[in-house]
Amino acid sequence: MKNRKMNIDRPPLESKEIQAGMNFGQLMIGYQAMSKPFYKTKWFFGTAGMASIGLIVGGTIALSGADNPDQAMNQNTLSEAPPLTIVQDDHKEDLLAMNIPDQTESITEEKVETITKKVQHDKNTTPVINSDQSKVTEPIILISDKAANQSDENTEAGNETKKSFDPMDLTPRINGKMNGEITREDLMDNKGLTTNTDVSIIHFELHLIDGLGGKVFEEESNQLNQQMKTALGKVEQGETIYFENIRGKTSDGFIVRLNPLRYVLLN
Amino acid sequence: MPVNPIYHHTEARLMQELEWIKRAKDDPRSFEPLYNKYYEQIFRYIYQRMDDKEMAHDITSQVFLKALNNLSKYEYRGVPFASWLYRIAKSELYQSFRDEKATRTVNVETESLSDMIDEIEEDLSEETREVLLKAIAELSEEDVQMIEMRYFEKRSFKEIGDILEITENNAKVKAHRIIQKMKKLFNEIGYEK
Repeated sequence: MKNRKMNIDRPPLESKEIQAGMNFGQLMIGYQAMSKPFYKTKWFFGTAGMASIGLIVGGTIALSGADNPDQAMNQNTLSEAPPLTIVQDDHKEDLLAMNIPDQTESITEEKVETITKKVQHDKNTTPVINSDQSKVTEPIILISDKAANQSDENTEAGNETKKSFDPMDLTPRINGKMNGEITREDLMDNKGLTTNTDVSIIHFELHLIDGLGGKVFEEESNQLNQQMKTALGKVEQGETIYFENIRGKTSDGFIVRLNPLRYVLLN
Repeated sequence: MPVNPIYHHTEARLMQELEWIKRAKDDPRSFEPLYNKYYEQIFRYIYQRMDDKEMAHDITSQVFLKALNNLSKYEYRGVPFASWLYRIAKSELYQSFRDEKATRTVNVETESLSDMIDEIEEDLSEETREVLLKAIAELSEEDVQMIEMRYFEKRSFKEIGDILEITENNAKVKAHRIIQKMKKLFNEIGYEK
């Protein structure tokens, strides 16, 4: 660097003049402006690095698990117990706390366990705590032998309760009988065809088969009409009569088709 | 040759300075004592090598800003904090010359030239001074730096060594070689004249 200027005896600067140029506040402003932003600091790189490693490791584990579904299945079947046993054991106390009739309070702990297991093995669906109540209130399950022997009436009442809890029973019946053998008196029951639900029968057909072929009688109610009664009067003992195309109407106004009936005349 | 009292410290003052540095590392506002102490020294070092007062202030501010920003990298090596500041100042100064923001200037005092003429064992005259100035103009930048620090700024060899990052003895040797070179140049220029 030979391109330099030579000054001889330049007037010296006073200290005051130099100190006038000092400005520490300006230096601090410059320092704050020049401070490294967070993304350039070691902390940022450390945090971002750790997060990246975590993502890579997590992703690798997740992907390796997906490639081997048998392994995942083995992890779920380490125990021989049904998968929901543990969950349902937790509801044992809930079962005991249910609204059970007085005569069932003598249930022993062993019975409750048996009941619990029965519920577990019969139902392969995920249990819902609220739904346990309907299961437990089935008198057949919860009433002890001793209590059952005490009163047949109670048992009958229990059975009625059980029946009334079957809203999906769409099988029609005559005098409470569904198929099988039937007497003429039962057949002529003035209640006609009924169901155990709120479905009212509005149509049915009576199919009678004799030596000349079949005859079909239609009725737009649940009662046997006079023609049907006359025809049934000619049917002999042991013959089979058929009720087909039975239609019912729900309380909501929907028309549903019900199961057919088949009876054998007893007399 | 007198010793620069601001640069040379006792052990106790070095420790106090180190305490200021530690505080400034934690809180930049604690840098103020160091700034106040060394601003004038650094300014004079810069202004000695250029002819623009405002630019000298700007470069001095830039030196302290860089020092503050890089304070976490500072390591105490038993020498005053000023030596670190001088090295930053030297770097900033020559950067401004390269960027042509400032012009390199050698500021010579007649009184200082007399000391040099004594060293090269020549007679003190106006003619000798002129020849000496021409000889200085012929020197390399590194040699001029040594002449400036040793004869114009009157720094000790220890201080020169700290600033140039060489040992005290090495600084002495270098200064001696430059004087020998000056003698040779002085004779060459004198004969030409």
